[in-house]
Amino acid sequence: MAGLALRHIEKTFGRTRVLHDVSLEAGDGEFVVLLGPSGCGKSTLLRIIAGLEPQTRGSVNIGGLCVDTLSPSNRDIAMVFQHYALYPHMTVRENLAFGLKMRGEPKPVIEERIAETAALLEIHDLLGRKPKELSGGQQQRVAMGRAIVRKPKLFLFDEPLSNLDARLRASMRVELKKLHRRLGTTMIYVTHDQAEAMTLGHTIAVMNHGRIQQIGRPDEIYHEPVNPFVAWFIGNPPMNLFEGSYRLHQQDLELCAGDLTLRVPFQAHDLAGADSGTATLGVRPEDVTFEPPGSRHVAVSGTIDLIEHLGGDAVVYLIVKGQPLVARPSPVLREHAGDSVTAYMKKIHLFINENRIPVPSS
Amino acid sequence: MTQSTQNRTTGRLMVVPALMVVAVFSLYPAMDSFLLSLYSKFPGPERSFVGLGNYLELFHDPVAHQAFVVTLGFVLLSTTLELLLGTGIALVIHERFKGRGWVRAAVLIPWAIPTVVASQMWRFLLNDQYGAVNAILFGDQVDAYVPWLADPWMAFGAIVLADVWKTSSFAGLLILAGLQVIPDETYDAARIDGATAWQRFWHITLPLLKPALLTALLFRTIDAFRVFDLVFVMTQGGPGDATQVLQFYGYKTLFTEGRVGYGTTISVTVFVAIAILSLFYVRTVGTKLMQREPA
Repeated sequence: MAGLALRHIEKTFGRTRVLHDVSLEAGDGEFVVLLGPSGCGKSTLLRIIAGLEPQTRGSVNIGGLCVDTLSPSNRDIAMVFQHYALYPHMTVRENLAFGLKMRGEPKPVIEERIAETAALLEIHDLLGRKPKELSGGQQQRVAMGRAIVRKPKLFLFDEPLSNLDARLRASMRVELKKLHRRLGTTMIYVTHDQAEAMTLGHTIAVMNHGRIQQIGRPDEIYHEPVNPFVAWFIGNPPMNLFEGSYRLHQQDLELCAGDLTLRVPFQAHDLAGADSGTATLGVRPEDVTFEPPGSRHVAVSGTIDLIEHLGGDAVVYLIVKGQPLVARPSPVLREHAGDSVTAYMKKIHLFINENRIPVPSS
Repeated sequence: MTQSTQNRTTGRLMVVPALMVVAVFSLYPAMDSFLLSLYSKFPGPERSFVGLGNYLELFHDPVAHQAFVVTLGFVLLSTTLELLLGTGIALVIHERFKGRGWVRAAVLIPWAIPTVVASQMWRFLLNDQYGAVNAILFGDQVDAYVPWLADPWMAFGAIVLADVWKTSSFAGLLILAGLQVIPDETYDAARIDGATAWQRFWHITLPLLKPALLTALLFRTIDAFRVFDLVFVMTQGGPGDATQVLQFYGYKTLFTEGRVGYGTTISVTVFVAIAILSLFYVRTVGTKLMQREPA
């Protein structure tokens, strides 16, 4: 077992640079999620770790060993692919055996490992079947089995659950978490699904445009996003963001976004920079309520445009001085669409020059 | 009349024109040929019914036996070489490299040339006095010039060579289509599993290429079995009977010797052989192809 260290990885395809100076560490046995929208370079990064794609600059260390010159098969890794990539002409048993056979493992060892893996993943009944005779979920299990059976130092997952339906995805997520606990192997997991990232990862690395935006624990990423992109990308529904010009006053900061003016309680000495400029102000839908919370809050009045009832709670779409504001109040409100309401924002996130500025909250 | 029977009647009426074309241009000649093969007939109006007499004669005809062996040899050798070469071509033009589009087009040129033209070209190339092959190999040493098409084995080799040259690219095209449906992820998985380039070819590419290879095999065997134009232009079945394939033997019997009944018998035999071969392929290979889902 081993950790992973990426140092200053860069990747260009022709003239397009898809990865910019990516550095990342994963401790021994850690579950690290690479999270980002499609095209952010996360899959390319995973392929570089696997050795399927050479990096333009930088180095990959697995278990303290630089693997830059090693082929994928010599890196002691296993990968689970988005479309499973099972060998369609082989039975499940042959699929599991293939990697071991290629490594020249003796037959009894192969049999033993297959039995072990089949028991772990409960795929015993499937061993004689071909991939096309399996459901999506079963193929997924076999793909994981093929990775596990080799007992690699490092597991790489490339959006492995994205082809499953929502219910199956949720149950596989739980299983994957249990599997990681049992195996204790370092895992790198690529996804664009923030729910997967939040539930699975010890550490999340949020990526965008080929750069790592933030590395941290799920709660850190959620509560203290370092820039507007991370703030917006994490959370569902996404964080409300208001971009506009700000001016610092004695006791507060005033932000004008279109017709909307927000005054946030703020001490001038919290901000080392200029007294005015442009800023982005964010508030999570969960932090918007319709009853005055504590002392520190920002109140705005607007009208309810639409209410989406989700059973336990509801998502409320408001229009506040021409700007959309999404709220996910709890407990469920009594208001209806068309009603005029006062909404209270309790926890404000402030970003100036794309950087997070701490704001004292209630 | 219910809606569905009405639909069925309309449907049947719609296929009548197509069926008529098939009946007039395929079914009638085939049936008529079969009838003709039951007669002893020479040019002119007379004919006498001999039943299966022509077939019995064919069964004991040493020239026909020889022609059958030549045909079989031609089919085996040319299809094997075409599949091997076709696989090679497909693997090369499947790779990404600069100018791949041009190479792909160039590879297909032999296939685009009409067989008669290609055969004539090869006859020129292999001519013992002014052929390019002799000129390239021996230059001014006219004494060393080889009469390629006059030697039984070399003439046979020449028609195989011409056929392989002309149709390997077609086999290659079919195999390329097979290569293109194998996802890259499968190869990535195999690389991580530790398979070398050769192992990836042997354990992944080849088994997954089987449907495409079988399709190519089907087309090429049937085509090779009824080879005629190549032999007609290049060797006229000679020297001796060295390149006389069944189809050419039938042609010669019918048009040169004027034995219409017997010549037709040979044609019908080739027809039946190809029909059986096709049925066999469609039944065995074909159903497997249909069942097989894309990888």
